[in-house]
Amino acid sequence: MESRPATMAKASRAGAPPPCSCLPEEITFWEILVRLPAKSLLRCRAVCRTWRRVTCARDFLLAHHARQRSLPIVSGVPGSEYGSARYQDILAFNHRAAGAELQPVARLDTSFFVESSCDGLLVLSKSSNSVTCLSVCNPVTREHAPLVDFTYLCLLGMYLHRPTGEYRLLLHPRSQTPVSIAGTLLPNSKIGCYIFAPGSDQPPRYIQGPEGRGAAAVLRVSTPYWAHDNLHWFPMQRPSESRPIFVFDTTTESFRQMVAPVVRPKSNIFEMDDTLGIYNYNDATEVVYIWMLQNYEREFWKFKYRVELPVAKIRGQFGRSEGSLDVGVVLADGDVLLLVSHGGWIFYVNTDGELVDSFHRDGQHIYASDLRFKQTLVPHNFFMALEYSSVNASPFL
Amino acid sequence: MDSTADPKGKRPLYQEDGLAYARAAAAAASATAAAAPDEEEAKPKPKPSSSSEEAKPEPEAEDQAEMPPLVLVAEDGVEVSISRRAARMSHMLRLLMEDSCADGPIPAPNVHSDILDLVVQYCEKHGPYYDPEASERARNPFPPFPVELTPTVSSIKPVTYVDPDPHGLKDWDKDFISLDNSTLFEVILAANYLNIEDLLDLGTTTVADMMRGKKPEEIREIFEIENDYTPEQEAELRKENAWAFED
Repeated sequence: MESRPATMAKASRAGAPPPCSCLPEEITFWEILVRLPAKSLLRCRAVCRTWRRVTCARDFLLAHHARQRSLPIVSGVPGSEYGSARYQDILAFNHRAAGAELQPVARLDTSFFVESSCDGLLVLSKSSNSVTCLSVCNPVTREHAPLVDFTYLCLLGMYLHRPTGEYRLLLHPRSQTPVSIAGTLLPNSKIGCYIFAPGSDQPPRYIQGPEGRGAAAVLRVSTPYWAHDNLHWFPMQRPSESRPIFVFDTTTESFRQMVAPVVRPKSNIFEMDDTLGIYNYNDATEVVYIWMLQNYEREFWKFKYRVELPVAKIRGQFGRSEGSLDVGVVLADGDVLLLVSHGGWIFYVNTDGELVDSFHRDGQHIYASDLRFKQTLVPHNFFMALEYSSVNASPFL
Repeated sequence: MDSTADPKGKRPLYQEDGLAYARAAAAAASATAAAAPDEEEAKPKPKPSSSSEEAKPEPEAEDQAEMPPLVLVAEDGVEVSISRRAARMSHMLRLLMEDSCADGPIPAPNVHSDILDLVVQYCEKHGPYYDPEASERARNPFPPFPVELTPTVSSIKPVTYVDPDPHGLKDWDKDFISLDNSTLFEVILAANYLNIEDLLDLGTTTVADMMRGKKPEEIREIFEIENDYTPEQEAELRKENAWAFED
């Protein structure tokens, strides 16, 4: 610890221009810069060479990514009244002590659809002439790389395979026709799935699919949620059927099931730090019920909240309005919040049923999506490895 | 006692944490505000435990009240005293107290007395509610905190999402940390030296928040850094991530 003259503190008290206290590097980088959002961190690289060197180092960027919060993604599209403007905005809902805000993440070409999100990477799909292409991008670094033609495979989810440190895609054949990828014919099976690592030259690898007739097909239209290094789907089924949560263990790369508490139909799961929650919105009574998975291993669920939505206040924004409310529940900064999308606005409600804030972007319709986003500046090998990868080009506008 | 040893291997200060929680829960369960008598000080009492999930300030505070405060000696020779309960917030002072080396004056050679006063003020405010276990978790949300708990604690201490600020400390912190940059940096350095995690987090988060939205030249001013890029190099850098430099 270097010593500093007492005169320094005295000078600041006397109102003289504040001299720098020269914080040691371990504090500046590992306590302060590591907390900055990616945009600010990129600006910091222009401060001086040392700052650039340190903030480009892989270990720093991994620590930086770990510190970033996983934020709910909000999509914004131009309102129909705005004629020919065509784009989609990806925003992150950031709930902080000072208030909540919608932070811009990226603006994309509308021909791309955001399929999935994992650790700051987005998987996009683009369909044209009955050919579907999947691609991976990092909206913060503006890197983008198209993947091989995936017309015959649907994306179930993307995950980090911890033992190898590889990001992998979990895929399912769209139909019974023989599937070939880049000229290789894959063994066909209705119940199996395929795993593919972007950037690797291995063809997709076949694995046993989830149990149950048509289970994998049902997972296709359901968003996966991450907890305990596993992906979870809670697909909607008919009220009379029992509803397991499908779990994909990303380490062993195998499926299993988890029991959901007895809930009403039309319930959804959501991520809560490293565990899961379930919520159910009863649109007749306008009440949201929320459960939490208190103990993951023992699958012990606990009922947590009953929230009466301030529907009158929400609809009041539009005079007499119709249409259902789209309710999402997220955990943000330790608090459980409800994001209600309605009429192109987003309403933020707390667990006491109070309308905390409302969000609107001029000229846009915004709505909360199921996905979450955690900024990363970590360089990923596959962006380099893949042909046709680009920076700061399509799909970014 | 060791059968329920702290999984993080921290030595408990006065007694097993689990025992303290058991006592606190029993006190809360009897639902009388007088169950765990606080020290006789003009400190604001915590909210009466109508929310029984909230643990009261640990009863070991009673023992600490009898022990004399610690004396810290700033770099300008001024002595600043800090109650033992508040001193727990400093990992360094905690170790000194455990090793019974805290009876005489403790030098803080790099910290001016004005700064030390501020730091002590923070610790005295947060001290009664300080829980070493909780602080560790808040500091490292990744990796996530464990859902399985050791037997002594599981039935008592909530791992679920109770009100994260039951004592209204966030507002106090916000006022406290509104300092000019120089003082803020000195407080951070002092918190680092004394190893006060919560204060270090508060200070560094404040600096990080202040840096958001600032241009590189403004950041250089704050940290008094010289620009060692040539104009061409700087222009190249800005072009590389142009979107980050737009407002």
